[in-house]
Amino acid sequence: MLATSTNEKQTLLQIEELAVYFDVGGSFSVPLLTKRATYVRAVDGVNIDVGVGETVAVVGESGCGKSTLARAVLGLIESKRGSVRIRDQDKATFKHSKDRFKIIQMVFQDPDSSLDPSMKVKDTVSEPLVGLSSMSKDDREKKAAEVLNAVGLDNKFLDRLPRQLSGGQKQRVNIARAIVTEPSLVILDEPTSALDASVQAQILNLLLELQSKFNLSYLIITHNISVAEYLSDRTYVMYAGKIVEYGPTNAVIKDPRHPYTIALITSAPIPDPKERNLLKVEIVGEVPSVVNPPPGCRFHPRCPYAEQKCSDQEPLLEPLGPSRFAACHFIEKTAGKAEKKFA
Amino acid sequence: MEGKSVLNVDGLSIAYELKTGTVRAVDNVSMSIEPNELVAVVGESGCGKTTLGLSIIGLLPSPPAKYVSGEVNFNGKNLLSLAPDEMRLYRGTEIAMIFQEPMTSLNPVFKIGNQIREAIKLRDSRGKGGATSGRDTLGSSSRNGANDKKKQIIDVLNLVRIPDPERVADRYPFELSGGMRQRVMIGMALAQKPSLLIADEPTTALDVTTQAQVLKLMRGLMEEVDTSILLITHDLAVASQVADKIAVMYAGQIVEEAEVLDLFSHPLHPYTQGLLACIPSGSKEGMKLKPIQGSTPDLRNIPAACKFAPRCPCVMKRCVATKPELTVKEGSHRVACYLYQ
Amino acid sequence: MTRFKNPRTQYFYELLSYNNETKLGSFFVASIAVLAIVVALTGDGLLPYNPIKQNVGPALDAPSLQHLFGTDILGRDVLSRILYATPNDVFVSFLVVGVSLLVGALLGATAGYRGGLLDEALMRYTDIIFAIPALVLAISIAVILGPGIIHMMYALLIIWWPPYARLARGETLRVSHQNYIEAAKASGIGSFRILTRHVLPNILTPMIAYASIDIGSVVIIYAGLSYLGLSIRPPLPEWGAMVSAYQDYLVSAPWLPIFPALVIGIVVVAFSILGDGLRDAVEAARMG
Repeated sequence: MLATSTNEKQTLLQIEELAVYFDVGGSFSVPLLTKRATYVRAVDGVNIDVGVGETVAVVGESGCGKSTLARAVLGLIESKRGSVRIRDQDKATFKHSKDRFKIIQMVFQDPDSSLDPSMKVKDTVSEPLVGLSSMSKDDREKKAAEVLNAVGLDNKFLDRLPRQLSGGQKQRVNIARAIVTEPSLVILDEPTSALDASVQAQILNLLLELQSKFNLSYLIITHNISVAEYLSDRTYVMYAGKIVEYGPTNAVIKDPRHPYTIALITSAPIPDPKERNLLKVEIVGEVPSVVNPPPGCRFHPRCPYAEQKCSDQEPLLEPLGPSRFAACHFIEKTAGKAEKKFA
Repeated sequence: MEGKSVLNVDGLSIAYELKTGTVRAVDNVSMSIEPNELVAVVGESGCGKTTLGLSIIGLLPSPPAKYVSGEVNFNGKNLLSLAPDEMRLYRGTEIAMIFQEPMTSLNPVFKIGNQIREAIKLRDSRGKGGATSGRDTLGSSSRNGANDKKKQIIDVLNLVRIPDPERVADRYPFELSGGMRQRVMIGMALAQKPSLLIADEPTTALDVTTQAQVLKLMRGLMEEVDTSILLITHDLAVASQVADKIAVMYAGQIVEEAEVLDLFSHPLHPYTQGLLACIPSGSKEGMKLKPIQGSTPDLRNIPAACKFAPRCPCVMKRCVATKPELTVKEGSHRVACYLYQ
Repeated sequence: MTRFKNPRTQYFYELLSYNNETKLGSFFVASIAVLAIVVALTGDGLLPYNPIKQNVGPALDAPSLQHLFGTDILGRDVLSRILYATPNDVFVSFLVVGVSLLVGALLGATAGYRGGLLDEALMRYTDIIFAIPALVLAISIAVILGPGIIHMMYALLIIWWPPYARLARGETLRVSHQNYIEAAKASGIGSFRILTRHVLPNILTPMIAYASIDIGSVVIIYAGLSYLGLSIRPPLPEWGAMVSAYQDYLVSAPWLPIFPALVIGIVVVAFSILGDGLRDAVEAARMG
């Protein structure tokens, strides 16, 4: 569902300056002796909002912090600072994280490890109802069957164990579990990465169908540009714990401006042998260490446009156009640099 | 096609004997790879592409695999007729293979430099030119000084464009990123200038930007090292970016094979068309994805008919009666489908 | 072959029929267990001879058709005595292993899941137990408590559970990082239910594989302790005690010590075969 304009959009989720640090100090003597940071800044000041019925994608590669972000938004891990507001309620006002789980749920990555191998499908799917509702056993089973049907699995799957299911079926069970409590926001962590092409297509269409049927908002975490483009209305690009660019999906993908976004978009293989973009890609280096990130702009060691200022001062997100933002000191250098991709 | 093919697979059939039945993993597969050509075998999980790759290099555990019929001709010689000792001479020197997960291909307790040294030592012990041809090997020399070995190791790392090779040689695998490890594997594989490099999902576990770098490297090295590549992948988009020729596999069979431009402009087999329609491109408003209905067949209960028939939107009576064979439609474009026979 | 409708029963069926070892082992173990139960229930009723009454038959008689394993110095039929002693060893070993498995699983899983002080305490305590040879410890405890089956069992129970706790802890660490545990937390499920519903069922299979080999070990140690005279009191028969009592007859009446020893060996081997096979089955199941 496309939000018609930002003015009319109702905000469902607001993430403000969220930061998640992990302590990897080891012994206490290390920081004392070396005076070096010993924590991983997995998420370092992220601002994202999701409107009602909207689909927002967070794209980035491994190590950028997007999975950590997902878990912090869900409430499974503590954040160092920042807030997550649902419809103007601060997370601090949730008496119990259980209330949060009723509104936000998650489809976990890797269907194989997301399902308890010793639990039948019907028990897995109804488990959120056990923890988050006071329904009776019969009602729970009925609801579980209902939701399984909604994801395309008929009643004979109720008593199956995960090892009797294919990858696509497992992912459907995963999805069913996430929507059984009728949440408002579903976070999808790499929903199709472990699946074959034809199964992936089925799941993507299923997600669209469920969204309109149950009026869901999606926050999709993925490294797959085409999936982000297909499903989402707006896209945020994440690098080394920070958002480097965001805006309407169409704009970000067809006309990327931040040098990292350009590298990311142009690296994604297009199924067109006439457009061999892959062989022209000029990205160098690897994702940086998040324990000691490079000073200034975290992308500057790999950026073809970097200058002195980039290592001295961290760029802030500046507006580029209507609802478009990017964090780069020399953003004007990238205008029109990325070649047109999809027809 | 000028000259002799590097690889010529002819009517290869391989079956797995399981407790629950016999699975025809590879069913009458015939394909060839020319010198300096990159051929991609594309298919979803379970289609037999990995079995095919392993069987060419002779790493297929057998039992439980059984070679039912066919030949694997490498530079004219049928590898399946060789004794294990003879086949070993080819492995690593003439035919090399890299896998999806470089972490498990590299020994975690040895430094990178040591592992490369071991590969070089092995190659040298087999003679300068490898098993059959008098091909020049990268950085080989008859002198055995420690400095020379060190230089050879650095040469290998430079070949795959690893920055700061001296430092990297001194590191352990866990200290490197996935992309670097895969480059090391490619370096070790190509250092001996094999005629054929088999790459089984080499970039599937890598990030998008790293994947682009590695694929570009592989394509570029083909000329430099004078080798051919058999790329096994499930990703049709990746294949379109680097392959000269693509073979589409389904349930153990090659259902279509063509030059890459031809395949994308004129996909013939309904499965190929279905695969192309599955790739998301553009937004959901633009064009709704059309997934292929149904699911991959259970290879234990294969009827003697077209394996794709249950899911085919163009299925005809003929298709459920007998199995179509891979035949030439035009030029080098082959397809196994009764729509064209 | 899908024999059972219930997927869990089917899973156990597949596990036990995984390979020749599990099939053979299961058969033997089941036979021994059935034998133990039957003898426990019927006492000496079904036995060929009364195992306790003395001077029933000729003394020191070599194996013959009437006395398949011969008779001992008091005229008692050796076969009957061996059969009569079956419940003793079988129940003790099942009990010791069963309780150790339970206690070890609970302690180890909790420690592995929660970490912290409980985890540290458990690790150090088990380290101490491991540092001292099991037999020495068991003997010391038994000597302190005095002879008798119950005291023997106490001694064994104290020293037998640490390996299970370590095993459970290791498996728990592996399991607790799986996404389904996170999903359970996101479903509002509390720690206790996560432990009982998600962790324990998924760590049990490798522990069972270990336990089945372990039963054999208990039999040996228990027989050994009985041999040392720490357990059973005559005239009740017990395999190890029989070996001890008859060892002087090794040359003059070899059937006396050899048959009980042989029986101990066969029982232990049966459990080992089953355990070995189960270990392979668990590995294979884990591979996917």
